[in-house]
This record gives sequence, C-alpha cells and structure tokens, in this order.
Amino acid sequence: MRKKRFVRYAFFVYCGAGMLTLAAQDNVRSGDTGKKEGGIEIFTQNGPDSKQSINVVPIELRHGFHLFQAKCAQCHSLDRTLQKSNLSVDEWGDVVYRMQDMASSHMTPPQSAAIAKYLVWNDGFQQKAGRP
Amino acid sequence: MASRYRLRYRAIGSNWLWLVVLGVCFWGEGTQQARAVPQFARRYNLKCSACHTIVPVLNEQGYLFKRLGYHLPPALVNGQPGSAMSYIVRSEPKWDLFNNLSVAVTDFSFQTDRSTTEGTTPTSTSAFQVNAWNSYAAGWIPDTNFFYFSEFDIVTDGATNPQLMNAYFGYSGGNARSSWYVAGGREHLQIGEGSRAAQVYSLLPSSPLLFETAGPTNFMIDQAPVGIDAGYTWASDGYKRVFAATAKVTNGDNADGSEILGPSTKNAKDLWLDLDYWYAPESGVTFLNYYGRKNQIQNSGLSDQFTYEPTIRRQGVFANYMLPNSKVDVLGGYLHSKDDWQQTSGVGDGYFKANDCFGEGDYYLKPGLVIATRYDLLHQTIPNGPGLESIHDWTIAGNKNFTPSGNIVGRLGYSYSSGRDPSTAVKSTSSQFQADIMFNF
Repeated sequence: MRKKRFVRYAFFVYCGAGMLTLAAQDNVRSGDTGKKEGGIEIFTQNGPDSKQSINVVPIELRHGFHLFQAKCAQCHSLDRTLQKSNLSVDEWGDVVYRMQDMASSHMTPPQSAAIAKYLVWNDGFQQKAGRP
Repeated sequence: MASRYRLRYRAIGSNWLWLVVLGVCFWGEGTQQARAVPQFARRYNLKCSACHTIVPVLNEQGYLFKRLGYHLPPALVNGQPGSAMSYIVRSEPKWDLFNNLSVAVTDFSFQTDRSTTEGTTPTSTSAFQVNAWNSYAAGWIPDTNFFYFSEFDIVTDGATNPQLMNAYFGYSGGNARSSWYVAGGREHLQIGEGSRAAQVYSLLPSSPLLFETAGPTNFMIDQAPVGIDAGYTWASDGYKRVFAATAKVTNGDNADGSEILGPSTKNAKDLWLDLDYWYAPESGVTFLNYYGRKNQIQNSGLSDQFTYEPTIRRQGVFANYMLPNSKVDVLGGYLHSKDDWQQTSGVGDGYFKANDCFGEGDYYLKPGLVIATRYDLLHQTIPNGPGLESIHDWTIAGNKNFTPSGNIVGRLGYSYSSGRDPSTAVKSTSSQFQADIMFNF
C-alpha cells in the first residue's frame, strides 16, 4: 500500500516536472546546446536526416557524401548540418579534422578530407539554391 | 540484484499502466520538439547513438564519457596534449536542471514464457507489463571536477519496487589523454562497465547468463554494491587506443545474495579489479577479477543448518571485435568461479567450481537496426554433488531505433534454455518470447 502511494506520488512529481519543462521553455538559454527559435529551444537530434539526392552531387564528391552520411549521422542530425553555413574551406577542414579526433568518429585522414570537400561543395550548392 | 532487463512476470495493476502510458504521452507531447531526449543528449545536442550502439549498450565514446566524470571526451589531436579536466568542465554548457535529469526511461513489454521442471507440471505465463521505469539525475557541479550519478528505479522487472540503484559522487582529474577519478557510493557493477563484451547491458532481452546466474553460494556478478573505487584511463591520438584500470572496494553481500546497504556484522570487504583495452574501431578486451567473502547459510531449514563464510573468487576475460565495416561485431566471454564449500559445519569439502562462457554475433543491417544472437554455456560442479552439470541458452533478437536520435527502441527476442541444477541434477527448460519498446525521455 505504501509502495502504491509512493508510486502515485512519484507519478505526480513526474508530471509536475513535465509541466515545469513547458513553463521553462521560454526562459531557457540557448547556449551551446539547442538553438533558440521563437523562444523555444530546438533540439535537432530527432530532426530528419539528409534529404539531399545523390544525383545532385558531382560524381567525384559522392564518396565524401556517403562518408558524411555514415560518419557524421552517428552523432548529428544531418538536415541541420546541410543548411548553408558561412564557413570557409579552411574552417570546414578544421571542423571535420577536429571531429576525426573525437572518440566516436573512427575516421581516417583521407575520409575526413573527402567529407570536408563535400561539405564545402554543399555550401556553394545551398547558396545557389537560395536557401537560408 | 540489479538487472533492469531481466524478465519477471508480475504485471503491475492496470490502473498504473494507464497512468504511466498517459504520463509518457504527456511528456512526449509537451516536449516533442524541445526536450524529448535524455539528459546527456540534451546537454550536447547529440543523438543517443553518439554514446550507444543501440541504447543501452555503450560504445567507446559512452564508456569514456563515464570515465571522464560525465563529460564529453574532447578531440585528441596528434602530438598535442589533451585538454585538462579543469578546462573541460569550464567548457560545458551552462548547468540547468533539465540537462541533468531524465525522468522517464521506461520499457513496455509483452512476454510469454513456458517452463518445465522434472517432476512438476509445466507452466506457461504471458503478460503485458511496464517492465521498467527509471529516473536519472546525473551531471557535474558547475565549474568543478566533481560529478554525481543517481538512478531511481520505480518499476523493475515488471514489479513496483522503488529503490535507489545508483547513488554516487566522484571527482575526476588529469587530462583527456591521461585521466583519473575517485568515486564513492552505490554503483551498479563496474563504474566504466568494461569494454563491449563485459557490459551487463545487451542487445538481447537478457544479459549473458554468466553475469546474471547466482551460484549455490548465492553470489552473482551483476550487483550494485556500496563502496569506493578509483580508476585511471589513458587514450592515444583520436582515441584509437584506450587503456583503463579500475579498482573497487565494496561492502559485499548478505547471505541471501542481496547487497549490504547498511550496517552489518561482516568485517571483510570485497575487492574488484577491472582492466580494459579498447582498440579501434569499437573493439576491446577486458579482464575482471573479484575476491570477497560472504555468509552462507547451508542446509537451510533443516536440523543441521549452519552458517559459514566462504571465500568467493571470480576471474573473467571478455573480448569483442568489430569488423572495420562497422557491421559485424563478434563478442565472447569466459568466467571462472571458485567458492569455498562446506556440506558439514567446519569441514571443508573443496570448492564449488564453474566455467561459464558465451559467444555472440551482432549484425548491423544499418545504423539503428541490428540482429543479434548469443549462445550461453554454464558448466558447474559442487563437491559430493551429482557431478558436472550444464546449462545451455540460445537467444536471438532484433533491435530497431524508431527515431533518428535513437531514444525510442523496439525489440523482439526469443530464447530457449535447458540444463540441470548443479546440486540436485533436476532438469529444467524455459522458452521465452519478448516484444518490448523502450522510451528514453
């Protein structure tokens, strides 16, 4: 009986925490985690993965495209990654090579180079398409 | 004992089932865009698969995350020193309650089971049930090297049994390349869990039998004792090689095999040693050693009942090899048991001995979809008993992530086991089917 009462109590605490979450959404900081859009912190882990068709990717960059999908999607939502960035070629290289040295990537330097080349091309592609 | 995924068949009241289902729906609805992932994924805006192959099995990064005091391992660049722990903790996102709290890690399941035992009528059971509901509060004290981890289990193995399964506090130091930690409190098994094959968590519905099966001295490896531990971790460039050592001193077990969580007349402490070596991609070897004592009640309920204090010894080697294509993972483990044994008070008869092993193959059809199969074999013998007895178990399961992040996982599994008890030689068999879905919010 005491256990039932305890579980009931735990359930209400749990629902209360959910309501607190909703109430707090307008006040949370965006920080280094989710991006803040319209006052709500957006987390992208469950965002759609890349919808980019391989047909638009030049043949010489398709190896990098496949590696990008296989390696980067391990941790990141690819849809957000594929939005246009303002990174230069060198900056994209820095980002990818830093990821190469993370524990979960298991990428070789040639694989990193192929991914960086593809991402630089993608930036230009998104710009031509007029995407934000 | 601490098996959150072991099967039991006591369904909780249907009212509670509905309350929990509604609660999870509420939570999911309210947070679907903002926070419908567990705390660590929220903190870094990363998928669950950053640290798990499929939840709850840890990959190399998840293992290192724990050993660095719940901080994401930073890049280890060729020839450069690793970031100091004091720098890593200052680089963390701002601490807030919601990236340190997961309130609903739940598992809903349907299970059927048919069991036979020589001399008794076969039994069959089936149940829809809330198999597990756990809440976690874990993180770090802002701008310090202190970390904490607590796990409150509300429903375990289908039964409402609130208990604090993990509650510990620690301090980590050094740098990402060469780090150490000390921690104390109640911890489930080894703090780092060991390399892939030595983890209690599994892609199959149950853990390997050698972790979960209690011997005649009522001791099993899978437990959450109270104690202190210290660990050292070394990593090479890009974490291509990782070596880790952990030593732990704990209170030990009561006579019935449960953990000693409060005052006790037992003076001896139990010692654990764990050595892990990971090598890319995602392969590793673990050596595990346990040495301890416990009270054992022999001939329970009979006129010649007595209590003695056997020494319990376990040594194990576990290894896995993930093929470079990251699709096939081959795992195996061996555990040797040797416990003092007395049939008559004060007369040492020799030892209970066991040589247990398992072999497992996992095939990742694509990220987030895996088929796994395992064979377990236990060889056990006790002095003056019926002789060498064996237990065999075949298990097969499929796991699928239902969300891109991997925080909702579905699983279908079937297992068949048969064998004889080492003390009575009575044969029993069991076949089980389980379908479950796990939500991690």
